[in-house]
Amino acid sequence: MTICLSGCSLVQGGKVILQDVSLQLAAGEVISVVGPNGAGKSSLVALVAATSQPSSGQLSLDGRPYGSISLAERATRVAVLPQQTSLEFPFSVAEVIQLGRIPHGGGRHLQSPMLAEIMDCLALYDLRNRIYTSLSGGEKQRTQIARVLCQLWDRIAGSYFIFDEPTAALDIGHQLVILRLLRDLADRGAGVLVVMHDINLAARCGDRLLLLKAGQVLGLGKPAEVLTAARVTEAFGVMPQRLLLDDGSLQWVFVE
Amino acid sequence: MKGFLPWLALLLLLGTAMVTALLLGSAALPLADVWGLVTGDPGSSLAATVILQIRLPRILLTLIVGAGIAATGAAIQGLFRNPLADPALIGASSGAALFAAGYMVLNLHNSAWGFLGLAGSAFCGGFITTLLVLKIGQRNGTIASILLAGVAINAIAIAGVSLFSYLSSDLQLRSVAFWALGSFNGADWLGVVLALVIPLVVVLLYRNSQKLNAMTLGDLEAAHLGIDVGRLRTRIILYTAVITGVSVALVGIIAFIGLVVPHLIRMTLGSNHYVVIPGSACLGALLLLLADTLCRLVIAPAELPVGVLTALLGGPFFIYLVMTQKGRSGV
Repeated sequence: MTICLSGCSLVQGGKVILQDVSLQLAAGEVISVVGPNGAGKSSLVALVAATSQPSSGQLSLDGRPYGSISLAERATRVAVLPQQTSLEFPFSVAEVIQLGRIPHGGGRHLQSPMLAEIMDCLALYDLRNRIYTSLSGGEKQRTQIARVLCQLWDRIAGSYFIFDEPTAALDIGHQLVILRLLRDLADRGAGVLVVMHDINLAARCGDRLLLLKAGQVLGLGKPAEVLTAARVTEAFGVMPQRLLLDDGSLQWVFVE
Repeated sequence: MKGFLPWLALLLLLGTAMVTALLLGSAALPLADVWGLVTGDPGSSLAATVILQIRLPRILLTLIVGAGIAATGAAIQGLFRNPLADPALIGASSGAALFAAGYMVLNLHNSAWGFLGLAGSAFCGGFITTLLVLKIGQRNGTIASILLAGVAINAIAIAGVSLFSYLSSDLQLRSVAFWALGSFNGADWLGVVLALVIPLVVVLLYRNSQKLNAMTLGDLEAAHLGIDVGRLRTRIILYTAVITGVSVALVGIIAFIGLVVPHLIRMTLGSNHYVVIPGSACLGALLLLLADTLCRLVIAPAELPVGVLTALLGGPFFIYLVMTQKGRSGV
């Protein structure tokens, strides 16, 4: 049970966006992706989500090449949260979350128990009748995350969740809620790929970490092993200091 | 305001408006004569003629066209993810106007194109411009490029209409102008029969409600939900071209119904297209019927073109909506 990228490159308008990326996302693990702006993180998400095709290389889902899987079928296996969703229509929060059921022919009627569970997870229950367009940025983002969860909530084991910066607009409390949620999805048998801006959050939530720079893989493996001072400096151009926290985890601090 | 109550209210209002529109008009009809018509008693041939040959087809055509342009407005707004989008944006109405003006001014009824008739040319015009906009706009696949192509093609078509107006004789100018304003004055049973394609296409639009719901999230998000965005876009735009083309061909350009009505429905019943499309169809039919009845009455026995009235009332009302409903309406 894996999504497998082998030797994937992406060239757009003569510019190399991703070069020779190989990656296996297995059910039950969280891979976090970090890298500086323009490293190709979102392009990697687009490849895995099949919204763009690689210029060379192959992708497969559980051994089947991507090309042989229809859009509709893929939507019942892979759920994707893009970096930004702009919804300009006055749907209620509950309605937006239910749009996630569309691949299963739903999205029309309330699926109450499932919906309540998901809203509980993201503390959205009290907002369920609010109009989406009137929400704050963080509330909108939680609603969109809930929609993505709703898409595969009844079949988490063996499914794949791809999140592009799910914590970008969230406060610290909600960031930690999302980290727990990602771990929980993996524990229940899903494969999770998550792009993170904050390397500390990325290191904390990923079983493995993928460090990208200029479309190339600088490192892939256990977060503490990948994020050496030398690699972090090479990727971000800033020298980190590593702190060992009381719980044994590492923290990267950047001081000029 | 959820559940069946608003629907019941809408249908009741529709029924009342239909009966009122049947009874009111420049020719005063005694109620007894109208009742005689219902019960099958051939009391007055005047009542029969006025009701059956003039008012009934006109009312039916108004309802069908109103439902069609409001439903297509709802679908286009969902497709373009913009509550301010309008079927006119994709060039269908200006294209139809251009071909109709050309047909009238160049006297094409005497040429090989005569078989098309005025309505046929208008329909072809709407369809061809829409295809052109779609073809140009989809070259790089974004919504913005389709809208920009629409703006450009619209400008060209309107310039063409102006040119034809400039070249026309006084008599032709009058019919071009009158037709561009929109009016149900010439409604007859043939028009009603031709217009029956509109409710069929509205049903097709309705069947795409779920996909349109997904589209409101964005192209990428819709694709992630398993929807073939390019195919859906082509399909909805073609449906729109059919509805707009047929209505413009039969009654001219009717402004603002397609823009304002879906807005009203979203404000009261929510954004789900399973509700917005049938709701807009009902409310569009109702409002256009009211507007047309008003047009028949205000300066009777003469008539206002209904397109003028819908724009006059719809414009300020829309501004009011935009100013007061920020946040809630998503504008």
